[in-house]
Amino acid sequence: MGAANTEKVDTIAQETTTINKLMKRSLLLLILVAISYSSQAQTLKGKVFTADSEKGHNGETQYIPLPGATVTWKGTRLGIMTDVHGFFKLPALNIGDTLQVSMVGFNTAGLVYSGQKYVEIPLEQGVALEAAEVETRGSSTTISLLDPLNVQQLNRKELEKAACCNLSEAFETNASVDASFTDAVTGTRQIRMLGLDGKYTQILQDNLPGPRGLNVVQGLSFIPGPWINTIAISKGTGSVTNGYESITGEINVAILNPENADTLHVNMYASGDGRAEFNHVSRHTLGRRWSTSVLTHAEYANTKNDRNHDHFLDTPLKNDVVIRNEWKYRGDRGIRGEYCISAVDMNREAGQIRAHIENPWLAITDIQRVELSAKTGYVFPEKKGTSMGSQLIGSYHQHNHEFGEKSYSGTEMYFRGNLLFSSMIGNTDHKYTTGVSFMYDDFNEVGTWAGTGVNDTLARTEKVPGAYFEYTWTPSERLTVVSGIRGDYHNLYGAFVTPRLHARYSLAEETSIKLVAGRGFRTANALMEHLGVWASSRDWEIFGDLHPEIATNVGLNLVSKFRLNSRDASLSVDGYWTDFENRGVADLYTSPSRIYVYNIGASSSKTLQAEFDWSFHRRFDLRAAYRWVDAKTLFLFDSAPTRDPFISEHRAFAQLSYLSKKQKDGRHVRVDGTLHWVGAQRLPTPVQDAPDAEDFLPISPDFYQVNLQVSRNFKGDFELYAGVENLLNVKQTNPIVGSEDPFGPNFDASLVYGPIFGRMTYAGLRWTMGRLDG
Amino acid sequence: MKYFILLFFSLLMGTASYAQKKAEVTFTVKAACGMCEERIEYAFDIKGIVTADYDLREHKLTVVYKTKHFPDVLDLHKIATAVGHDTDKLTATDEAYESLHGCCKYREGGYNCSGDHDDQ
Repeated sequence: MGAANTEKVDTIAQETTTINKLMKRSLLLLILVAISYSSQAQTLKGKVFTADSEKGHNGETQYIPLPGATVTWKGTRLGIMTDVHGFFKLPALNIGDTLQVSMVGFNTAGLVYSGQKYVEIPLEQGVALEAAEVETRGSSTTISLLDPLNVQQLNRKELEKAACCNLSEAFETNASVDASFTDAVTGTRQIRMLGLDGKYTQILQDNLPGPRGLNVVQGLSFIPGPWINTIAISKGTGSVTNGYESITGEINVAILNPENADTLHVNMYASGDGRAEFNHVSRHTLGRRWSTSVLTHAEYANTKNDRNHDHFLDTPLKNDVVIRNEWKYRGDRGIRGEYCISAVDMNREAGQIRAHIENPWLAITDIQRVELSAKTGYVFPEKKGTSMGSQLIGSYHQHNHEFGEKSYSGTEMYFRGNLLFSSMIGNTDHKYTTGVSFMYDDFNEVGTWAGTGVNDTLARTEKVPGAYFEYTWTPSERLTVVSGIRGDYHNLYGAFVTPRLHARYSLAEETSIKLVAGRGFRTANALMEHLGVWASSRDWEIFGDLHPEIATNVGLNLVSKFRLNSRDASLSVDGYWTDFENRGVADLYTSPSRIYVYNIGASSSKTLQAEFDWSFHRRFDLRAAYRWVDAKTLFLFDSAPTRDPFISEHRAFAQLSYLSKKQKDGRHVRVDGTLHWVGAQRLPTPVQDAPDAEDFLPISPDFYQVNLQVSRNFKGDFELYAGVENLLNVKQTNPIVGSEDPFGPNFDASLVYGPIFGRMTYAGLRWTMGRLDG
Repeated sequence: MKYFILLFFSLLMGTASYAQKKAEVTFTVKAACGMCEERIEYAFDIKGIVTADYDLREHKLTVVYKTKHFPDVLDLHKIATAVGHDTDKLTATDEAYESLHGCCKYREGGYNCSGDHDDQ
């Protein structure tokens, strides 16, 4: 136990961490005890490695052993070179002596010896490499000038700017991703990118397939905000190594893992609508090879809110639990592994309030889910830049819901295996990743809708073997081209090819232009993807077999970082175009009592976005963005293309952040205010002859939304925050059409274009022990 | 939408009206590690300083400041020496230097600090 604790302290110290004093003292005591037991130890073993600036194929930092580094006791002639795996062995000296490690091209590092038997020493790469990077100190959202992909990185600071409780709410401070409600009863949020539904965006969790299949809409709420380390949003098609499913973008959510989580982090949250949340993240080191993390999330809401007196709950009653346990292995000779299990249990009730009505219309959702994943990687120590890895993921998903007299039951069994090999041809100018993958996806869905008395069963099993090759060419510092191609054979839909291209060219030192072009492919699960329509009297009609959705996406992006009034500023402008060869559309226009789902070819979306960031004062940051979308589809019974429903053509966003000067002990205050302007949206035809039909224009009014949050840190490890969402108390008037008769033909709760609940206050606290990022 | 444009421009105008005479200066400040860098930049987080960016590799500090607040450049050097860091023009008092954490003692060579320190 003593030895384990000693090593724990070492790891923490090396990773430049902060331990609170109490913890430190008790550990110090343990170290002393450990040392007194191990004072006979005469040799010190250790390893020298570098954090590779080129990220591994998993997108994670790779640790490359450094052979030939010199390790010496400072002030003595006692020294040795590291072996081929970066290991060294030296006679141990006294506690308090300094071990110095140096190597050409790296910064010399010093480590104060505290009596341990084994040390790990990371070396930072020297001047030559880092000079090219543009430092954006303190910024919580960064866009790299060097990455060929247009990736926007959001870190925890950014996520903490809003009362973000889970991933579906995390995009509140982001202009690239829109979030909206699927319907007026269940409180489910969906996202949109480039003017298209979130299902066309591939969501990855730690570079493995995240919410997809039957989990595509609800899955976002199973990733709690306090679990998230970073979110990387890239617009346009993603890398071929992750499959063929990304069309409008790729969002990779990196969950806190055993290496970057705080020792213990607790978050509690309560809001004015009666929602209470508890989140916890903890990390434990077990020896020097294994570490583990445990993450929990519990959410509970039992307050019956009905502010608009329509006898429908404004917010659902919730009872959700999500847990996750990850094990990380870091072997000495280049082997690394991550093994993870997670489980979800979600129970929600929405609809009419039981106490008010005799035979209430209820919307009840139950989801159970288990997921297992394993990632193993091996870095060849003798061959620079060569590694291989395997990624396995399997999940079981069960979703049942009852909306009034309609019901749905779906089961999905999913497995994906991916084997990757990365290397280079000659030098780092020519790198490649190649591999094979296999996907198994089994769906079984039963939908029952009373109106037509139809009981539909949709079942299919997909088996897709595939292979891919991706080549990264860096002819000069100015240009990087990543071209990839993958071929897959689908057991139901045959063979298809997915080409992808990403390129980056630096026009000037701080200005780069990026191009993305690619094709994407996905199979649809209409009943689940249009979840909101269940909350209406519309009956489902699916025309024939739904073919896979295929689209091509092309985009251009310009990023420039500059100084304005001596302060850091950046401007990003981009345009994207997505064109469908085949799309499984949900036609809500043709009939007010039906939802028709069918294949259509003529559908496209064009977007333009400009974003400006400026730290106009030492303590103030400003962000302003504007986005234009033109998404049109030629529906089956129409002669001209129509604008897609619920898409606002114009949207603008501004955010002002204030951060006070940090006190010596870490105390500070942070204030974030955001302002959204959401332009008019096209709504599906209102339900005919509804008594309140005049409330529903086919075009929604535009609206503003203002959010404000104040947070205060106490001594660095304790933080309180409070805020107001929707300060202006903007509400959609009458979000539920025909709420008097929910079992009748005119009922429709899916016509949601804006906020339902109005102003909401919330407060919460975060408590951290053993903070890692200082 | 028009509110946005209005807000944006009023912010621009606001900062423009602030704009007083500014100057930029770069000078050498001796230091040993990232912790020193933090200390130096923190010391320069005061009124009259627009930006202060320390380059640990080159041991150079670049300061954009308002000339009204600091008519004499030496006043900027004094900010660094007050927290124990020598510059190319001024030397910190031994007292200030001694208050530095052990790993920041650049006069004795110093080395990369690892981990945190109680006096941070």
